[in-house]
Amino acid sequence: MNWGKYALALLLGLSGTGVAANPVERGAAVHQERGCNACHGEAGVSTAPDQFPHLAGQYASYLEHTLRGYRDGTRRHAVMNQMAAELSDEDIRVLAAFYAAQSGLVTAPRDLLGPRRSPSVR
Amino acid sequence: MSTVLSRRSFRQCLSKAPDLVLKVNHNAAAETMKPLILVCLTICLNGAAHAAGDVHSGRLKADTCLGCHGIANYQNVYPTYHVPKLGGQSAAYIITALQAYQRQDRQHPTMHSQAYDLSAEDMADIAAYFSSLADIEPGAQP
Repeated sequence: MNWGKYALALLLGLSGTGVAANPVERGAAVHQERGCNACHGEAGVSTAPDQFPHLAGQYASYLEHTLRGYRDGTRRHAVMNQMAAELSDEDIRVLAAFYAAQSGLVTAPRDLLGPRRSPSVR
Repeated sequence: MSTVLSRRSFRQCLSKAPDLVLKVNHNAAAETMKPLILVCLTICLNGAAHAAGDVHSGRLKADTCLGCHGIANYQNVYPTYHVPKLGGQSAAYIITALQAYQRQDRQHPTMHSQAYDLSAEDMADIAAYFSSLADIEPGAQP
């Protein structure tokens, strides 16, 4: 019995599924194939922020909601409705995972007492 | 790809606009007006995007916003998804979103009730504040 051969096959099999199951990498591929990068940048940082929003670091669940909205027309945008029309549920899931994994957007700090200490504001 | 095409066709539309405007009264004077009309149209179309807001006023006006957008991992319900991060977001995009909520082009009852009485200045200030929270370079690579 050649256990080494089985171990190698097992290892290859596992690493194979590992690559295929990585949503961030698959999302990166869809991001390129669909041309999302033309406006939203290579890593979700907008190429022209006065026209296109940043997506880098945004929550995946919000992006999924947004893309489904563009796909089914509940959110209207001439370009995005077209871009999202052909996306599968899986495309949307991996795209959102890709953007969420990039560094960029942050949650606003809730420093509720901060600005009120300013002398210009009573 | 289609975005590039649509932007090109948008530019083509824009270049034809003076012809449409001047069709009624076509004379030599009108010809000289062409570039002027084009400039005016361009300024009108870009106006909202370039209104610079005040970050400090924006922070004060954004107090209510932070009740949801200032809490990490806060969730919207029915349907359930995370309330989006706004720190570092493009100011022009935030203004566009607020306008869409105000007009109810974008459907979200809570966001409509927040946006319906905001002035253009309020929107610009709030957008400037959120945009100032992170420095996301245009076209930056990771």
